[in-house]
Amino acid sequence: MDDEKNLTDAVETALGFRKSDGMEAFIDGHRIGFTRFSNGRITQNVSRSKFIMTVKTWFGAREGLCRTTDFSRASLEAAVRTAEEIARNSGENLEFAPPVRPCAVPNVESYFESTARTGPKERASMAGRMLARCSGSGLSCAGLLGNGTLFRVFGNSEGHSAYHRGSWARMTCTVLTGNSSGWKRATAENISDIDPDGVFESALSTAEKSRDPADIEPGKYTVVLGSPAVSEMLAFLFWCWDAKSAHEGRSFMSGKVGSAIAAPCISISSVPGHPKAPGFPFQQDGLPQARVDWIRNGRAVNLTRDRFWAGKLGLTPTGQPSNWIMDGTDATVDELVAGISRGILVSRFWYVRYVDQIELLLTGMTRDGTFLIEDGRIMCGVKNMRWNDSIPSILNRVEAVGTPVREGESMDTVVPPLVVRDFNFTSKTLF
Amino acid sequence: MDSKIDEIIGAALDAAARAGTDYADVRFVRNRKQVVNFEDDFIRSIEQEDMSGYGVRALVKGAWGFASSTDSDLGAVRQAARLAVDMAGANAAVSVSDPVTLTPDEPRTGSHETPMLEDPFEVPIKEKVSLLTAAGSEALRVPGVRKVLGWMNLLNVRKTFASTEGARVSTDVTQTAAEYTVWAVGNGLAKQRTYSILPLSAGYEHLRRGRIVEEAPRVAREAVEHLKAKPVPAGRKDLILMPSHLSLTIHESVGHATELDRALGMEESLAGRSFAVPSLLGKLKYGSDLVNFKADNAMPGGLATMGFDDDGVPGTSWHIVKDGVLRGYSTSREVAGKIGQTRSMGSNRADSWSSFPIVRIPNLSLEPGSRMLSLDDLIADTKDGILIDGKGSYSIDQMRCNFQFGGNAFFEIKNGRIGGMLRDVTYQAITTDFWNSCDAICDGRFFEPHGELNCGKGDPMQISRMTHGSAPARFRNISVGGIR
Repeated sequence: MDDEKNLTDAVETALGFRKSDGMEAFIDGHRIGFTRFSNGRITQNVSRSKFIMTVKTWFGAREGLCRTTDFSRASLEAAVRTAEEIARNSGENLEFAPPVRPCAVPNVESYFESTARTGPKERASMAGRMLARCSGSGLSCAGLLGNGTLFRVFGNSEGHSAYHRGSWARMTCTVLTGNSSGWKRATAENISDIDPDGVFESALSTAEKSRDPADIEPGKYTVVLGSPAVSEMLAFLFWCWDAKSAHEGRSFMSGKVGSAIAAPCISISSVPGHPKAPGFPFQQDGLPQARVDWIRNGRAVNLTRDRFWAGKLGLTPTGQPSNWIMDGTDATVDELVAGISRGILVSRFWYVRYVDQIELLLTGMTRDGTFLIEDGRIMCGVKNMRWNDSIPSILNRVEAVGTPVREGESMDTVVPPLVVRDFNFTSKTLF
Repeated sequence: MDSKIDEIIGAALDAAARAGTDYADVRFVRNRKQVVNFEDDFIRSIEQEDMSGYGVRALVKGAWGFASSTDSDLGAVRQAARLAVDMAGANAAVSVSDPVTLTPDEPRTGSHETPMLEDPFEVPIKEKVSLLTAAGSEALRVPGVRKVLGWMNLLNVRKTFASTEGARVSTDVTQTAAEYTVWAVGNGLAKQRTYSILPLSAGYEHLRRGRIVEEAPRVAREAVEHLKAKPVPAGRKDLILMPSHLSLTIHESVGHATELDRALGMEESLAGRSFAVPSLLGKLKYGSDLVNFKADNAMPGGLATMGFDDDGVPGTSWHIVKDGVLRGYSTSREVAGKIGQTRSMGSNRADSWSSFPIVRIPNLSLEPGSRMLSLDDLIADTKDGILIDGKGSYSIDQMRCNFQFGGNAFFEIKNGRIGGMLRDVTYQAITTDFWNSCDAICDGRFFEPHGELNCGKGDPMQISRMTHGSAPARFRNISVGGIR
């Protein structure tokens, strides 16, 4: 059920059952496997084959939506009839937008057979190497190895259609000593771009360097935020980056397009097919991804806008991009650290949440490697701390930018580490 | 459909046994969901799902394999079962230590069905549309209101579980919830107030009992008042936390901290570990003597009340904290034996047929106080405090020690009286300091169960549901504000 013909046939079959004014069908599918390990063993080894078709129909501006995993003719017809029944009985969507007309979709090459073919035995072998490294050493490790093939298929009643197949691989590894930890993540379309031993060694190095963490007082410090921390923070910026909430006064970005909102060294864009994080070429409504600048030299240039809001504003729609790319330099983390007389190196954040969405005030914790910097050198690990700070303020206090790295859990990013002055740590924890 | 499920289950278990598994189970799951999203006084979307699939879990030489699919062809089922066994074998070959041993449990047979009067999927769409848009219209009438965003969420999960040990149980769970948030915008601020019909395992009658339209003007007025409220100064305050707020505090600082897989280190790769390690069982003073946390996966209306977990173990009740002392964990058949327990407490759940079951928080409640104490009495007894209602910002470290919570609405308490609203309230504490500062809990008349719909755990993340009940409770001398 995973080749192009079968999936596009299923979309066409569903569209053929349409009695409504218009209709879209979208398949989101994957065949993936992942292996988890911790406590000296593999704890899970999972194979998942999941294909979901979403059918959206409308009569005028009344819409209905139905999802199914059963692609038999009878089931697809039932899904279309259900969506139509919902649409008939729904109220009008005042932000209804006409469907996407047939148009070109960018060509994003992101499928690697070697990634798709890697199976549980290979993953078990990689995990086994890491577990063996820790066995009897006083260390332990935990993590995930995952890989597989992702599918997206779209068709609508206007004759627009699109198909994409990509591969995906991810590895995370945490190494723990008795009182410290280190973590590393690698994501790639081509599994051979992931070096499992390198991921393990990086996590191990961080854990070793942060042994016996010191207790320091919270307060304002110059920080080097590792690229995982920057990626996590930016997710919270871009979840509030839509033109609609800005227009309605419910967003920090209200009235700020065209204004400087960050230090001039900050530029962020979305780039379909970016070599480090290619993303998907089209969205669930069939809208092609396009290159868009969001922040250029510190100035807000564009906000995300769906097709309705784009029409209202007289702009082209952006939808939700599938990657966020931040410009950087060639500077390494060590070089950034070398420029700081006293500060903190934060490897990553944990449990970041909004405190105030209008201010984009966030809170979160440090995790898996937090270090005291003195005279341009890492002096020791420190216990984790809670921070509260606002993203626009942080982005205005950026003093240096490092080399961009692919990151991202909830959204795909390529971001550099940042040096930020006066980062606001507000309390400490016990470890 | 039942005969098809029988065929799938039979084919999976037979194929796993033939492939040489030591143990296998199979779950066939059908998920139906309907979500009605509204904005202001119009419908944004109505989404319905009807999805099904199966997952086969195999245990070979103490190592797991798991394969799932949506393909109900019996050949595909057998292939998935064989794959699960193969994967378990691959794991067994490299697992270095600590093989899986399941605690014994008699093979269960039986079924569980959510008691309900009215199937929510049979209620006409038009009725739901009209109810929700009426609530939006009422809220928009209040001057100063800028936006209303809300939803109705209806879920039905039918699951059949069977194992090579001979267990065969089925569950048919229905859950209903609705909520909306009103936004007021002005003076460079945007503030909210939320109304919820508490998520419960129940039919549509539960939503009919709610006051979704009637409460809209009050909720909208409080959103506007929130906008005009004065910010809280940094300092130490006594907090009275309402059940609508405490549910998340319980969830984050007690529920997750006492999942045994996490306490053993098995969730380190994403969700983290716990300070409440097994060596502290029976010793750790988690809270004051008033504090009793009881888990109950048979709780009427509880979102984790499913009859049986995904080990096929029936729902039961037990104390996690008794008289302030750590006394128990949420467990599965895989982890219970690691701390010498002879049986699982039945908290092993997956969020889908395609997910591997892991220990999840049960229905977990702070037991009400044993002496008569009303909310009014508690407020009257508080000189300088803040009453917090509803959920807001929340964050906790990966060991579940340092947390910071906000809320949905904050009311100043001065000399035993409720004053005006406050804004920008957060409080921060270390988990055990916080629960040990609890000096009063209202009695059972004020107990409310609040459901959590989006509990994330696992890697990749799985979303689970459970209920946390409590009565209003007071916490002394808690650090408030001071975050800007």
